[in-house]
Order: sequence, then structure tokens, then C-alpha cells
Amino acid sequence: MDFDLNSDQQAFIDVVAEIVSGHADLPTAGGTVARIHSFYNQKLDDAFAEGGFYAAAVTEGLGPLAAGLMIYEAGRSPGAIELALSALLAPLALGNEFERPFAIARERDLARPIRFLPQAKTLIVVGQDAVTAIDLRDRDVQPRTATFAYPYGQLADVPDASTGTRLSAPVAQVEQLWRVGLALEAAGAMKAALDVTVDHVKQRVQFNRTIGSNQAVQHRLAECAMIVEGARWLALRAAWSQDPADASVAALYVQEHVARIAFDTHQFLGALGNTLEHALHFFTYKLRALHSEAGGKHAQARSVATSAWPRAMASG
Amino acid sequence: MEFGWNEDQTRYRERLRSIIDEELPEDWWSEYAYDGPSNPKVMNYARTFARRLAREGLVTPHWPKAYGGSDFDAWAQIIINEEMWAAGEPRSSLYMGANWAGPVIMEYGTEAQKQKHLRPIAAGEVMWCQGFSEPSAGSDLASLRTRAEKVDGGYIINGSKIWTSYAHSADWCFLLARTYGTGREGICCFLLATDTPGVVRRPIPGISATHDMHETFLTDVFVADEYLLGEEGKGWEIVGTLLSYERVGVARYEFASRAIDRAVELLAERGEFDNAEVQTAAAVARARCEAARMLTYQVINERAKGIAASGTTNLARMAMIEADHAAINFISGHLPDVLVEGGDGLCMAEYKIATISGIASGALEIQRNMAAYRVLGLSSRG
Repeated sequence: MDFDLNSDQQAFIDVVAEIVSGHADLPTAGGTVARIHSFYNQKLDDAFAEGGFYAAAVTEGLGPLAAGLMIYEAGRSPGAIELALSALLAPLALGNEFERPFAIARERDLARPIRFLPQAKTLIVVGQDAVTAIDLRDRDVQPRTATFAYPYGQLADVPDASTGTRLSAPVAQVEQLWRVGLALEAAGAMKAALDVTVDHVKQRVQFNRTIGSNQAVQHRLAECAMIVEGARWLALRAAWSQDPADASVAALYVQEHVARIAFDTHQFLGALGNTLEHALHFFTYKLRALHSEAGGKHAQARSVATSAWPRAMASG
Repeated sequence: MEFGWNEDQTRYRERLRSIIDEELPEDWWSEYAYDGPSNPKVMNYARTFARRLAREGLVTPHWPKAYGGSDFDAWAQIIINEEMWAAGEPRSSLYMGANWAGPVIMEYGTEAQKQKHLRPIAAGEVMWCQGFSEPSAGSDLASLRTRAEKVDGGYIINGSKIWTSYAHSADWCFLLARTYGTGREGICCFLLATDTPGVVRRPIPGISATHDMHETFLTDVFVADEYLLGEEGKGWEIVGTLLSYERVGVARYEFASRAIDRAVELLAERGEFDNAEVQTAAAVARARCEAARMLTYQVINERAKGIAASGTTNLARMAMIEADHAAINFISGHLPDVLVEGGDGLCMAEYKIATISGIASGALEIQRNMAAYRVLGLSSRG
């Protein structure tokens, strides 16, 4: 058990952090920050692709934990990038057969707006008994605007999932990797939301004192810090262990706490945080999108219960 | 960075489990542990259990060899704490001497004090309690009023303590009293034998475990100079060190998890686990225990590397309180009958222990204050 990075891990994450921070600028329009709900950070995506970072999970000396650290770090950046599926699901369960970026959806959600669909070249469809991959390159994907801080699209013609390529990876493995990815992405966004909020409350003065000097504000942010740290370690553990039980716990924990982080951070940023000009919404509205990902809290809870109490679940 | 146990740690854990399985009586939960580790029956049992632990070198394995330990690291300490708490803590208040009283004596004591106190603690022969809180000094511990007047050869102590856990069966009390001043200046730490004339202990009945709380009255109690720990009037630094040891290391997430497991088992037997609401409530409680575990491990990681205690300690305490309450809310929300006399011992024990979780060992509100300052850099000045 060691919570500190070894030298290889540290070197890796230092490079990742440098790349992420070098591509963290918000888009501009007319010389000021663009008022947009989301933006796909293509330059960051390209930088990771050119550097071979999407293969970290299967690179000797790195592995799934390194990929997890990368997803978490990128999650702290305001732009959206399809990283979680490319860095974890693809190398560990899909092989090299399918082209990234990826989108993922449960079979019953195929007709609905799907995250990353406008950029995706492959759609992973998770059914009850099988997972299929649908080539999107010749499909009509209609972009959909949303307040969520991700690009969304919808299929004009909803295919039958069985027309895709059936994957050899079992449903359970794909769901596990999906959960780890969303937990890491959410944990990074939570951290970023907390950081911008703490910076703000240290500076914002009302009634002749910074709002962060008030105990009520401090207590709520301390609770947020507890959640943010807990989310991070649960998600990193799940990436390291590749244990389905750990993945379910991590995903449940983040989805259960999205509402708290989103509410408190926006309360403390006030109307400023409500603007598209301020970066907070990029983080909190990623969280809102991830709130119901992979079936949402109850699906994760059921998975936790199945891992933790198999006899109780089987007895009905 | 990695989150697994090595072979030695795994073998250590298995050894502990086997000893616990061999030693605990068959009716442990129904006759002993249901009322928490401060129950007199458990405390008496602990003295017997301590002999086996001492033979195995398991009372203070994390202590230096020179003082009766085995130089085990902080990870070994959390492993033994996890296994003991999973069994409802059959060591009772032995952990007080092992986890904080002994360590602060090691750090601040004279050679004579180390010789006198450390061996009995390591041998499992003595139990300690903490004479800290007073009727007007709880979270604001530094406002304590118990007085120690310097006399020839020692001190005369007068005052009272309250909420003292385990006091009724403790052999020694780590007592705070002041010789002068107010606030943090003037506080002294005394190593007080509880059978000293003038010491009176009375239990306070409450909703948490029996004998969880006591009043301790000190009337003209003479304590010789040799029982003053550290420098007169400079005890606050020792208190800070002691509290940092105390706050984390009690692996109650393990106990809360076992209680949730037991509650799920009971619900399944009744055919009442087959609905999404119950499954989600149980899973959420389990997830909170795991978050508390990981934050505790983060603290242990710091300790194992000799890093000074940080705000992580406060976050870990906060998470443990959240986990405890998630567990008892799950139990009381779905199985209230098991908390009535004759119900389930494990669930009952967690329910009684966790009730006080947000108050004992530093109230939740204080943890939040400290986390805000130490982790986020937020201060009341500004």
C-alpha cells in the first residue's frame, strides 16, 4: 500500500500535467472568452494521440493506474475530451480493432442524446448479454446543444444494436471500465470545481470580510474537500485494482455526491458562477452529465450490492 | 502508488484472524460485544484476551523493540486495528495505552516514566482513560479549570472531568490540569493512578454504550512529581501530539461495514432485501465506509513515511463520522427491532458506538474547522 507515485508514475503524470495545462485555454471569440456551454479540446486530444498516451494502460511500467491518473488530471481541465474510453476501455477490452474517439451507451438509450457522439467514430453499445461496436463514420449524427459541458449528438437513424460487431469482452468487464472512467473523470471535475470555488471565497469580500472567513462557508467547503479526496482515492484504487467491486463503489460515490458539489460550489460563486464567462460550469456541468451515466446511482448501487452481498441478492 | 497488501501483511492479517477466532467466546456478540467495548464485561474479558495478545507480541507491535514492541510500521498498526474492530474491539480500552498514552510517554517522558509505564502497557496489564473534557471545557479543551497546586514533592489536584470513556475500569488516567494561567498556557499532563485517594468515578447513563461516559471527581488528590509528564505548564504540545494519534487509527469503518453486512443478511433472511431502495441505502453506506477507509489509509501513508500529521487526519475523521451515521441510519431505518433487547448484537453494538461518533475524539464541527484551515487554507481572519 503506497499513496505516493513511484518515479515512473511521477515522470508520466508530470508530462501529462504539462500537456493538460498547456492546452487549458478557454476558447475566445472577439478577443474575450467565448460564451459556450462546452468545447471539445481537439488540441489536447491530438497531443495525447501524438504522444501515444492512449496506450498507457497497456504500456509496461505504466498500466491502468497511469491511465487513471491521466483521466483524473484531464478531468480537471475545462474542455471536454474523449479520454476515459480511449485510455481504459479501448486498450483493456477492445484491442486495436476499433477507431477512436468512442461514445458509449446502454442499448435502451440508443435513441437518446449521447455524450461525445458528434466526435465519435465508434459507438459502444452495452446490452443485457453482449456488447457491440457500431461504426459511426457513415452514420448521420445530429449535434444537440445542452447546458452539460460535453458535446452531445443523436443518431438520426437508430440502428439495431445487433448490427454492430459483437465484442469478445463480456458486459461485466465493459461496465467495470465504464464505471472507472466516469469515476475518474468526475473526481477530476469535482477537484477543479472545489479549487476555483476556494480561490473565489478567499478573494470575494462582502460585509467587510472575505466570504471564506465565515464558518458556515468553511464547513461546507470542508465537507466538499472530504468528498473530493474520497472520490479521488476510490477512483484511483478502482483503476489500479481493476476489481469490479471497487469500480462500482467509486462510481456510486461520485454519482451520489454530484448534487452536493454542484450545489455548494455554485452557491459560493453566486451569479458569477452562473455565467458562461466563468469556468465553474465546465466542471459542475460535466458532473451533472456524469450524474446519470452508466445507469446512474441505482445501477451502481445494485452492482455494489451484487459484489458485496451476492447471497442476499440471489435470495431475492 | 499502489493499493494492495504484500505477502507479509496478508499473513499478518490471517494470523490475527486466527487468534481472534480461537479466543473469542461463542456467545461473544450476544453476551459481550452487543453493548460496545466499554461495557464492563468486555473490559474484563479484554484483560484475559490481553494475555494472549501479549504472548504473541500483539499489544503494541508498532512500538520500538526497546519498549516492548516489534518495530512494526503504521500499516501493521492499521491492520491489527481493522481486524480487532471487525470483531467489535475485544481489546476494549487497551488501545488507549497502545495507540496514544504509550507513544506520548515515549516521546515526552523521563526514563523513569518510560520504565514504569511502557512495559505494563506492552504486556496488556493496564488500561488507560483520558481525563480531558470538563463540564465547561469540551471542544474548547484549553479552557479547562481543574487545578494542580504545587506542594512539596508533588501537586494537589482539585476539579472534575466529564464524559470520560472507560473510566470505571481504567487503571490509569491521562489527566489534564492547570497550574497557572488560562487557555493553552499552564496546562499540565499527569499520569494518574485511578485508585489514588480522592478520585471518584461515576457512570453517566446515556443513549450510547453503557459506561461510555463518566464523571470523574478529583478532591485533594495528591500526585507526586514523578507523575508529571513533560514540563510544568507546557502540556498543550503533548495534548496536540496525543490527539493526532488518537484521531485516526481506530478502524471503525471495518466495524461499520460488518454491521451493514449483518443488517443486509438479516433483511435477506426476511425477504426484505429485494427492492432498489434498500439495496441503494446499503450500497451507499458501504461506499461511505470505503471512502473513510481510503482517507484513513492516506493518513497511515503519511505516518508510515514520517510525514507530520496534516489536514488529511481531519478529512478522515469526517469521513468516518459520515460512514458511521450511514450505517446506523441504514440499520434503524430498516431493522429497528434488532436494536431492541434480544436483537442482534453486532448491529446493536454499531448503533451504540456510532451514536457518539460525531462528538467523541474531537467533534465534527471542530474537524470541519481544522480541515478548512489545514486543507483549504481558509481562516476566520479575512
